[in-house]
Amino acid sequence: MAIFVRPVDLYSERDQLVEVLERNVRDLPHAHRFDWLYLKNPAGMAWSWFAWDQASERAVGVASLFPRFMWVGKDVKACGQVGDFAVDTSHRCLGPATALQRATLGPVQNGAIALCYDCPPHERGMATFRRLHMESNCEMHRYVRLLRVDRWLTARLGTRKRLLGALTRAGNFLLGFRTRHTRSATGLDIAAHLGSFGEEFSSLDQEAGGDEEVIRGRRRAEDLNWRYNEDPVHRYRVLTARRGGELKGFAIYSVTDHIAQIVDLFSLETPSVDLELVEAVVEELKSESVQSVDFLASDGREVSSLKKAHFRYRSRTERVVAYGGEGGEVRTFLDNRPRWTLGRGDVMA
Amino acid sequence: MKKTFEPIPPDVVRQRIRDFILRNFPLAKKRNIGDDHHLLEAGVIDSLGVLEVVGFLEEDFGVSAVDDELVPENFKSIESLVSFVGRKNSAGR
Repeated sequence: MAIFVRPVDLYSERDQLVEVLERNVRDLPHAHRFDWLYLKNPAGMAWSWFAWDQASERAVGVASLFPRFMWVGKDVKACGQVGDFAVDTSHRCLGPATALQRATLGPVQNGAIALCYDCPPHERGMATFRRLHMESNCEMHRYVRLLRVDRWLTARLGTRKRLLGALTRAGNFLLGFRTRHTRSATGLDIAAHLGSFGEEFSSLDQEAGGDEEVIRGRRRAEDLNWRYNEDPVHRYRVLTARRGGELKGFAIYSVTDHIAQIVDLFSLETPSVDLELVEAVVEELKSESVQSVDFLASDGREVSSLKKAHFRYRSRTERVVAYGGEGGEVRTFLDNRPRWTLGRGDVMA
Repeated sequence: MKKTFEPIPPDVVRQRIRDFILRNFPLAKKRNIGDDHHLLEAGVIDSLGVLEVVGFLEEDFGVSAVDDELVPENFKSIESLVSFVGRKNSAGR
């Protein structure tokens, strides 16, 4: 075979790796985020592989595995998320992609991590897994709460200004009526959190702990600081929920081009705390001309609070495909179909 | 019962592959692709498309492809696919 897969030296071959990504995934500043994503992750450095064309002596594809700590049942285990997976158009004939996908399973097979998971965003991305006879373990679903109708109506009515103006005013007025209704009953203090995530976040994660039938991302302070405070590309805001000064939950969200995304929502006493946090995020965003708020949830995640907060189901998004080795307790755990409680923060590379 | 396959003349193989590509990949018809047209670079077929082509080759010609054979040399054009089927037939699939 003229194309083979080999590990990437993240220091000496950084530029080549970035070039492959820039050719194929054009909407991200790969060079700008490289150090953070590949080298400075507190869970460990990334593993990367090239699909290497022997004839031209250049990389025609790349895949990476980013370490993550996860609660797998009752225990925290070192895991990995596959990401930055790209193959040049001229080589999208399944062979290089399948070989790269196989390579990402290697750290599980050699015992470096307990499991790895990939999150193909569309059906095309499942091709390599079909070839490997692997199926999705869970699916992600997108929920949206509309806050303003300006853009939605403009897209449908175009330049009919008078009608557009009247309907926009009426629509925004009606959406404004959907206000929170339970805050006073629970006695929680919701406030913006600035600066680093401290040890209280680690304590919250520990207190929430694991569940024999659940798999979820760990949220210790170091995980959150890396993911949300040190990300050189995105900016995030945090709201906390406290009772008597004690942290009970938090929501992390971002706003880009008038669209907000809640990337993480985590609490004890769910769903009541979740509901208050989500509604507090919505209130914050209403004053900023934000058009809508997105929330991504895996199908094992509790979403009753979202529905109460007027989020509506929109679409299926990523599939999550996990690999836990050929035997052993993690494989058995996955075979028993645990509940995956993932959010957007868990499927972002 | 295992399906058996008689040797098929290259022209017939070419015609069947061309029909399959035109029938299943809308861009192929739209761009009126020729036998040497680069299917991958033109975006006519992608990874999932290759998977469909592999299934078709297996079903229609009894030709199976291992991962190492899923490379551009074998899948980049209708002509490449015809050659691939020919080679596999000669090698006893």
